[in-house]
Amino acid sequence: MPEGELVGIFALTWQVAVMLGLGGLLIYLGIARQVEPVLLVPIGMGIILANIPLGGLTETGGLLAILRTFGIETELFPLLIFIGVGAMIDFGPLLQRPYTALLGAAAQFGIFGTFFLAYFVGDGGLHLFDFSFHDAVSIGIIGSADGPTSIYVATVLRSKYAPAIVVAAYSYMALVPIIQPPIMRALTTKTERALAMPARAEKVSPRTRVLFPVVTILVVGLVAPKATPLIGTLMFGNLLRESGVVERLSQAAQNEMANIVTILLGLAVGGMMVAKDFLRPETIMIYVMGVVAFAVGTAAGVLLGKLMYVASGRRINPLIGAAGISAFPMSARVVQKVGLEANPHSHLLMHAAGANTAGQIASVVAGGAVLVLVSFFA
Amino acid sequence: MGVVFATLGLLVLVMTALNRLLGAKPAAKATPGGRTGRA
Repeated sequence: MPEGELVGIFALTWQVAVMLGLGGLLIYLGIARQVEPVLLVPIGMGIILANIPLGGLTETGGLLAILRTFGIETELFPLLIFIGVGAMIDFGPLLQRPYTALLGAAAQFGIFGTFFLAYFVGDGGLHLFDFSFHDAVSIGIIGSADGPTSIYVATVLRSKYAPAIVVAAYSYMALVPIIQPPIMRALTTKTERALAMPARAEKVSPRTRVLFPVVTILVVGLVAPKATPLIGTLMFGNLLRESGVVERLSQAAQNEMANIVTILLGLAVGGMMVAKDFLRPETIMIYVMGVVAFAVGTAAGVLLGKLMYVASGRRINPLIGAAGISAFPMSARVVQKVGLEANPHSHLLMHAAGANTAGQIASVVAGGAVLVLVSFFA
Repeated sequence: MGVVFATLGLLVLVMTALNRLLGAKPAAKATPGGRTGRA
């Protein structure tokens, strides 16, 4: 056997070195800067393991190849994660303020805006980048600000950029406190931002909480059937939480299962980022469009918030629209912070949480809608 | 976007209906005698 096949350093190229550096950077950001550490640490390690020359982890039978085949290509991991996410989410603020669901819908505009942009610079117009119709749809879904949905849609559509899309989605979710406030301030006046909303709302009955996940599966499943796997697992997790009789299962979904799948998912996503597929101009463009997706989604949510502000006779603070993107609970906290800057007595957190949890449902519906869109046009 | 708004709009109606039909009952008013509800 030639020496080059035994000693990895002979197979080290600059591209591989860049990927090893990138893996190290993600681990650094996760540990030292606390940027989405739960995901960036496993993803960073996955990148390093996948790019060690001659390591063989991404070849047939290798650990990362197995995780990719059985966890990602079957769409199993994102769906299992959604059970955990559903068990973690309290839909109470949304049920107390049903109108905030529309803000969640508006904020999904980033998905469609980014899709058109990606398709225009790709195969649909300028041909500057190698973005097919399926790739453009998958890139647009970054705007859902929802990691599992991004993975699910990019995998179902077999996008060759799935790893970059997933990493971009999670990276920008961590950057929500930087991306959103300037847009929120630019689109609202000081008076609008300072509007205080009543902190208390009527209690939601336990029966409503239990029925909500079941009814939501029926409504979403019947209108957007392609979203059924996502909404079904999300709401199943929520039913475990709200039923009150399977506390052990709810805790297992929130902790053990979500944690184990997160480790495997992170490694698998990192394992998909091998130098020859990742280091392309398209990857940089995906990151640029990720910012566009988050910005457009935020702006659309705030603009609908402004419409509600006027329509409600100045009783709804337009800032809560920014929480319509489903980066939960980060964007609700951002709304609270920006609101407090304008009025130290204004507490928008629970209102924003309503829009934020609605964004979670809306992003799943949007994921199902784009899958229908693809089967319709492709 | 139409599908997203239609679905979330339906959910608004469903949530409102659930709250109306199954909403938490307001706490019974306390009477001067300390008893609640009907005498």
